[in-house]
Amino acid sequence: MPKYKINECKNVQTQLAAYFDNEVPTWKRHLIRWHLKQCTDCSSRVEAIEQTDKLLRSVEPVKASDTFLSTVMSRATTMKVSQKIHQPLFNRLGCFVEGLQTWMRGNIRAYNLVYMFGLIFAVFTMIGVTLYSPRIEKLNPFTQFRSKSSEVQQERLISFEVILQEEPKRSLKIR
Amino acid sequence: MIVSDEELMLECRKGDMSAFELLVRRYQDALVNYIYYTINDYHRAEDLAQETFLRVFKSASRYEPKASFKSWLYTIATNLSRNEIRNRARRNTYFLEDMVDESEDVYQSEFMIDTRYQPDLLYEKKERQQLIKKALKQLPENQRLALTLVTYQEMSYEEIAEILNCSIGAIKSLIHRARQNMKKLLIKAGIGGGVNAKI
Repeated sequence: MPKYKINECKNVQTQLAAYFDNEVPTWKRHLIRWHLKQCTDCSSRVEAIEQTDKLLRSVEPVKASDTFLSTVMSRATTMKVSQKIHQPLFNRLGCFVEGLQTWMRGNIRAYNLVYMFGLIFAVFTMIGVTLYSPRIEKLNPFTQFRSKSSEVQQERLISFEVILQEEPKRSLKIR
Repeated sequence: MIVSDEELMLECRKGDMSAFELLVRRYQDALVNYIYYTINDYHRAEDLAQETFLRVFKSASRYEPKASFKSWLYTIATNLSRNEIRNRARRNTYFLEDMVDESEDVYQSEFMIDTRYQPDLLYEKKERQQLIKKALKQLPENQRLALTLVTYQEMSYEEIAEILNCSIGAIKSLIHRARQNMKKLLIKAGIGGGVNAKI
């Protein structure tokens, strides 16, 4: 057998399982099929795979027992009840928020009027707050005290800034 | 209209028990079958299948339909089966079905009905099935899992790769090797030989 033929066979043989399971792309499938028509060794390998698969499939499948479903459901119900009882407040709050989120996701769409109104209101409020920010000093009742204290601080600062001039201890005498 | 698994799971997340029941109905037989071929013990397979469904139910609140539900379910089942195999190996325990060679209770009714007609043929068939199961059991863990998923669950390589957490290339070679080994084991057991013995 020529060397290129052996290499081709090696390449095809690694792909045979995937070829059998229909897991190779169409172009490769055509190439393999073309090779199989010519090569008896590789085609017998495919037959062997088919035979093994047939034998494996001949094993009768088992089924779940009749009580399986009822057992799972009763255990799930018990689990659900116990989860509700033992759930801490924080988790319940989380569930509520999650539920609210899913409700919002399901009910609020981009063209919903309420949603559009809310969005426009939020945008205008943000712009308004940015451009015409309210003077907090006027609103805040403690601003008077705050201003007094700041004056005191300023005074202190000024007092620190005063530099007392001292007479020099020694003076140079010019003859 | 057939509701998809993912939609049912989302309903289940909201607390709809009937959606969960429908999911269990859909997958109970396939899952028990899969675990049974993996660990080769029917009663334990049922227990593990129940455990799988309960785990799904427990984590339903955190479920996001990113990956397919089927892959997720089989990943849980695979992990449980792997743990079972390791625990069994650690404890060095054997199940009755491993020793007796037959799970009478599973096939008993069918066997009783048909015995009157062709007992020898039925016995032969049963014997062959036991040999195939035995051969399957002798495969390495990953090869057995991949072969079971592709043969009995008819999954694509992509789904198997997701379940076994491997690349598709790795799954290709895994199944290729699994089939080669399976063929050798079947020939050794006296079945699957003959003209097509080369693989």
